[in-house]
Formats: sequence, C-alpha cells, structure tokens
Amino acid sequence: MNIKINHLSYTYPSNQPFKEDALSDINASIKSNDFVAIIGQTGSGKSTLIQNLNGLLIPTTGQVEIEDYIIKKKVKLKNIKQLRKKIGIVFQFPEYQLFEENVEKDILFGPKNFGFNEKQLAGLAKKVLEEVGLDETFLKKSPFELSGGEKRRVAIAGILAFDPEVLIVDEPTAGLDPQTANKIMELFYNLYKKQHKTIILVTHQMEDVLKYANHVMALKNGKLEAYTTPFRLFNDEKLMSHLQIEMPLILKIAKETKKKYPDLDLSKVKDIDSFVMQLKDVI
Amino acid sequence: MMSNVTLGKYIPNNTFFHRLDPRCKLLLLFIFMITIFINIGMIGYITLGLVMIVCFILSKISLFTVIKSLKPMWFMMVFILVINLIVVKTGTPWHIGKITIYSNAIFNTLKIAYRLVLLISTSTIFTATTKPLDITIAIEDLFAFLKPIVNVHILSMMISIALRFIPTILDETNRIMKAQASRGVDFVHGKLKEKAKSITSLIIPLFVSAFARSDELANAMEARSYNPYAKRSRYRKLKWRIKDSIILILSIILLAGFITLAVTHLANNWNGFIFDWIRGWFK
Ligand SMILES: Nc1ncnc2c1ncn2[C@@H]1O[C@H](COP(=O)(O)OP(=O)(O)OP(=O)(O)O)[C@@H](O)[C@H]1O
Ligand SMILES: [Mg+2]
Repeated sequence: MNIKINHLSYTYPSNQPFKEDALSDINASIKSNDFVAIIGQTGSGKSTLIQNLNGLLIPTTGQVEIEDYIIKKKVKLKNIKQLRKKIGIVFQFPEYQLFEENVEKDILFGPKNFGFNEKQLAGLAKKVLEEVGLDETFLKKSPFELSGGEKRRVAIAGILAFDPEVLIVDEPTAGLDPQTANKIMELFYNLYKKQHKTIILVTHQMEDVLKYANHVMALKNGKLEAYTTPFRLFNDEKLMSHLQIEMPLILKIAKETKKKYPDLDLSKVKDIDSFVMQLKDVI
Repeated sequence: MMSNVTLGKYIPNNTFFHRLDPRCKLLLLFIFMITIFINIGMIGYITLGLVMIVCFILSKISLFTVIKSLKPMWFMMVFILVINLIVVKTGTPWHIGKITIYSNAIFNTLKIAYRLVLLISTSTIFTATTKPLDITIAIEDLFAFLKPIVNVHILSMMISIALRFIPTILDETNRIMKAQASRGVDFVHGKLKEKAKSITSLIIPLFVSAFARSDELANAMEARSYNPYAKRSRYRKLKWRIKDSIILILSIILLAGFITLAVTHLANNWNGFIFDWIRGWFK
C-alpha cells in the first residue's frame, strides 16, 4: 500500500482568536514495505500527521491518497472501516483505550469490529499476546489490573490482532523499561522484515531511527523539514542543529573511530552489533 | 468529533467583559437569569435580546461560537414542541390535514426557545470571559456569608476543579473515540446493539481515566500539604472598580424595570405562557 501525501495542511478547529496550522503543506510518499520514522520536537505535528493517514482527521487542504482511497475535504470517504483495517494506528499511550473485562476480549474487540469470523478469532488473542511477549495467563486477567507496560503491550496486541497492512505506532516505547522497549522495537522490525508490513514509527529515540528506519521524516512547527535516510540526516550537521536533535551515540563513536580507520563504512553502522562487525572488517 | 463543544470554555481575550470583576459578572449572571425567568412580556424580551446582542459585541465572541453553543438545544426544543402540541389546547386552532394544532402551542414553544437562547447566551458570555479560577474566587467571596454553615472554600474548590476538568475530559473523550475508531468502532452508524457497544468502549476508559486523574490530583494536592480546613490567604486579589458598580447598578435598574413591566403586564392580564397553561388545565 503506497501512501501519497499531497500538499496536506491541517488546522485544528478552535475558538482561539489566533490559529496556527498544526501541519502545513506536507508532501511525501511512503512506499509499501518501508520502515519510516517520523521525528520532531513535542508539538511539531507528528501525531496530527498520522491521524490524517486513516481518516481520523481530514486534511484542511490537500489530500492523502492510499490505493483507491482519497482522504480529502468534502469528499465522502467510502468504506472507511476497511481503510482503518488496513492502516492500524497504535496511539500515544494506548493503554487508555482498554475497556473489556478481560485481556482476551479486549484484543479481539478490533477483529470483531472488522468482521473476523469465529475461525479467524480462535487462538488469535493468544498468538498476538505471545508476539508482544506476554504469556497466555494474561488472557483472562482484567486489563485494569496490569502494570502500565503490560497494558501498553496488550493495547499493541489489540492492533496487531486485526493484521493491518500498514502499522503506525506513536511513541510506542515511551516510559517503558529498556528491555521491554527493545522487545517491542524488535517486534515491529520483524513485522517489517518477515511479514513485509509497512511500519511508520513516531519516535524521539534517535538510536531507534538509526537502527530500524529506512527513511526518516523530520517535522518542525508543522512543516516537513526533511525526508531522507537516517544516514544522510545524521551526517548533516546543519540539519541536525536546525532540528535540535543529537546524533546517536554509536554513530559518534563510529565517526571517531573512522578517524583512525578510514575504511570503516559508516553507512552500515546501525547499532553496537553492526558497528562491531564493521570494525572487525577493517581491523 | 467532540471539538464542537463550546459551552463553558474560556476564550482568552482582553475585552470590556474580560476586565470586569468576576464577582460583578457573577452577580450580573444571576440578575439576567432572574430576568429571563420572570415573564416580562414582548417588549421586555426584545429589550433583553438587544442587551444580549450588545453584550456579545462587547465581549467579542464570534457569532460562530454562539451558534455552536446553541446546537445542543435542538433536541430539547423538539421535545418541548411535542409536549406543547399535546398539552396546549388554546389559541386559534389550525387544521393541517387530520391534525389540529393550536397557535398557542407554537407561540409557547417559541417563547421557551427564545428564553433558552437567552439563558445559554448569558452563560456563554460569562464562562467565555471569566477564567475558571476567577469564577471560583467570585463564588467564594459572594457566598462568604454562608461560612458559619458550610465550608465555602471546599465548595468553591470543588467547583473550580470540576470546571477545570471539563476541557480535559472533552479532550480525553476525543482521544479515546479516535483510538476506538482505529479499532473499527463506528460511533455514528450501526444497529442499537453495536451502538451500545461503541458507547461502552468510550465510557469505560473515560471513567477509568477520570478516576485515575482525580486520584492523582488528590495525591498531588496532599503531597503539597493541602488542607481544606486551613485558614488561607490569597495570591490573587480581585479588584472592584467603579465601572463594576456602574454596570451592576444599571443591571439592577434594568431588572427593577422589568419586574415593574411584568407586574403591570400581569395586571393587564396579558396572555402569559404559564397562565395560559394553567387555565388550559382548568377548562
Ligand atoms: N486536539 C487538539 N486541539 C487543538 N490543537 C491541538 C490538538 N492536538 C494537538 N494540537 C496542536 O497541534 C500541534 C501539533 O500537535 P501534535 O500532537 O501533532 O504534536 P506531536 O508532534 O505529536 O507532539 P508530541 O511529541 O508531544 O506527541 C500542537 O501545537 C498542539 O498544540
Ligand atoms: Mg504526539
């Protein structure tokens, strides 16, 4: 599923005398089976952008094209439910959307809404729960007696359950312990690598951008300042200081090392493991 | 989705009304409410309507906001109209096909509608131009005479917290609706059973987060040694100016005028809604 964003602007309706665009004139396209990171400071419009991608918000001007769907003002979106089945969004702090009496029911809530039949539902909750790293004892627990991180994982499982083609995740690891955060990031990466899903990740973690993303969108004050590869972004000092982001530590180390070993291929350095691999090659 | 709720929202600005002393505004609110509720006859209502329009212009609230805040009234109006059509059997009978409706039913509904518009407009002006915190202080001050009987401070604190949380809860509602919409919930269409389910998926998370929020707030207040029974001083001091007195006196004169008007009207046996209605019963 290719996503094409054309001249998209979005302004929140408000009573305030002074309105500012939350997004202005965004142009971008996201290819099928890509891993795209969206970065930008708090309030830069990341969450607003992703909500424009499945018809939760309708662009004030401009449009979003996804296959046959055209999300545009004044054009009624046909079969919006089907669109939302294809584009799953895990919201920022998704733990607040749980409501069923037990975890299993909550996970199956989405699939049921999208018309999965009994056969498809059987064993589904257990399967996705395992994917997010929780065992089946959680199935019958009430979602309200879980810890924050467990709730988060259940909420993510609730989206994975209806198997969207494009998975959009908004700061999925904020406030989680590093180990769980890692697991969840690996989960998304596997969905991308093995199941060929398109992943759109909103994040503040530059390490994750470097490690997982193929492309990165940088927003600032509602404008798309850059749409490039993580490697190019982190090599562009000016852009980085403009966006007020820091280079990931491992890349800094790699850059220093490159002074001594000029053959080191920085574009292949994604995390500690890949850095060590590269280093072995040149030493 | 929920963004069109304007009733009760403060609109920052610096108009004549914003600068009035909140206590004065609260008194004005009472005076206007009383005036609206007494039967002041046609001239009275027209005058009151004009006064209201002047107030709107002075407070620089856009017509759009006003119309939006009147939206929830429709349902009530239809309800009242139906009741009136059934109950009221006075005035000129009009025959529409097989049904007979009476002119007074229509007129009474229009009168009630007009009053409701006035009522909502008054409160809209009040809440749009007065900060929630100021409202509380005003309440606390004006009801200070009740101190021996009830703890005015606790009451006003409760009111201010409640007011403070209205926008928060609306935002929360909006957020949860979006999250559930992403899981395939259709809040607009669907059968009764599906509707009930979709409402549950909204209400439960809303309650859970409201309780969590109030719990957190209570803890945070206690952590800062909040004691409702302590004697406290004030950081914000309200200042009563001459213009407050002038406005208040003018309004009281207006009220007195209206009361006189109403009394004379009653003496002239003007067809007031209540009297018609009562008479209708005794026929
Ligand atoms: N419901 C809303 N109503 C009005 N304005 C909003 C609303 N939600 C966001 N905004 C405004 O839109 C702008 C972009 O917000 P957005 O939530 O998209 O930022 P973000 O990049 O996701 O930030 P964060 O990193 O904090 O999640 C902000 O200036 C914000 O104040
Ligand atoms: Mg956000």
